[in-house]
Amino acid sequence: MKISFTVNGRSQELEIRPERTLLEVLRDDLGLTGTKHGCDSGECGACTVLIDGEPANSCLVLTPAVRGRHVLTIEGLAEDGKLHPLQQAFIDHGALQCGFCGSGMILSAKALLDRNPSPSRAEVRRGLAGNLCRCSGYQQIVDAVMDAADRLREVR
Amino acid sequence: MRPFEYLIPASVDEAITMRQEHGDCSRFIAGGTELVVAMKAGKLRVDYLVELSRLTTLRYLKLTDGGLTIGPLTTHAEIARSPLLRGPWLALAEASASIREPQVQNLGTIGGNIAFAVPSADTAPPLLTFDAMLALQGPRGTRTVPISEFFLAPYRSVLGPAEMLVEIHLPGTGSHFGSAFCKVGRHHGLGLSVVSVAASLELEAGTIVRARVAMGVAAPTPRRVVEAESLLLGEKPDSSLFREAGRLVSQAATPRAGSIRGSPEYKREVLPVLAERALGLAAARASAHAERGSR
Repeated sequence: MKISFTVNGRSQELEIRPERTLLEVLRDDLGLTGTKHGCDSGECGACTVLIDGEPANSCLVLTPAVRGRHVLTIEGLAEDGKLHPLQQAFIDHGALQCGFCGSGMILSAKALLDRNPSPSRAEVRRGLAGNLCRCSGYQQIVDAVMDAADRLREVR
Repeated sequence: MRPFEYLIPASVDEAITMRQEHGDCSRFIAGGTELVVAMKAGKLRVDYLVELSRLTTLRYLKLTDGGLTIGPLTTHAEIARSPLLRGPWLALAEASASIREPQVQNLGTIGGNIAFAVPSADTAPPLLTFDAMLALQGPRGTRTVPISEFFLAPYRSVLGPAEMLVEIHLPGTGSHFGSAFCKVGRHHGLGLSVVSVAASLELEAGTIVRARVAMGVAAPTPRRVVEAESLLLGEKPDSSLFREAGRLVSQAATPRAGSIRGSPEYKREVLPVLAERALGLAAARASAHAERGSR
């Protein structure tokens, strides 16, 4: 079936089978492999994207369900070649080890900071509860999000 | 995933007609957080999916005659954040907030949680304590069923073929009413509930005039524990009373052996603690609401 939606600000019109998930279409049809394929059952959060600004597991979303919606993936976060403050903070704090959870972590964190620009560490942990890091670098990840929140508030 | 056709209805009536046409090989899909996983695992054979997520007329929370009506397509995230659920019906907001991670709360709906009839449906115990009424629309019209009569067995309910849950109604409460939901999970954000208890209490001059206690994942379906409710009725809220009620909750539990989430022995140990905690919170909230009301 024919599906139109927006990915990282660009409209897409695709002819796809409805049983294909958003994750598959992003990676295999659009080449956006920054969205990771982890558990494939909505547990690990590696495939997190923002749909109309809200985090969702793209492995659980059938592609027809996003018609007309705005999808943001990690590739859409930097603007004019300049990293988003969250991306920069993740680098500065060494908040990535193997990096597999990073895209999902950063997008969940973006949704959290959009809603709550000054979260406590506990609120950051709750906001990232659906993103697993198997290298277990959670401390640095929370540090990075807290730091990015400061940087974003300065920008505003 | 096995191929299927994806049907997009423009209205509730059309959605029901689509299900009628395609019979057993068709299913409704809302958030998809249960269905997509089951289909990927090959546990569910579906030839036609009828999409409900864009039927926005079924996505609302509104106060009506002192009660609250909830559209089944309201997401867990919306319920968890709604200011309408800060008062007497707080247990429902707590249950929705406890459902796995933000990514799933944004997709999953209360209607899907109930209609899929999974034994661990977290919104069921609070709705049971509120005497929620479910409106079910089918090819021959709409009927209303109390939620206590809705669940038949794991993944089975009274929903007929082509019948859809179209509204959840919570009746009005007295002003001295409080509720709470307590559960044990593996850890926040991963996996389903191990066991849960919801409680709601209404007080009059410090005496319990209405009590409801319901448990989740402690029996084949979510259910009330009438023995505990009868014990509480007419008594003053008190920790030893709540401990005794918790004992009755545990006694009434018939947890499934061989569950991957927790043994029956473990659930029977935890249930009294959860029940005592939920009742304590419900009583404290009922008194707090009463004070606020009298000011």
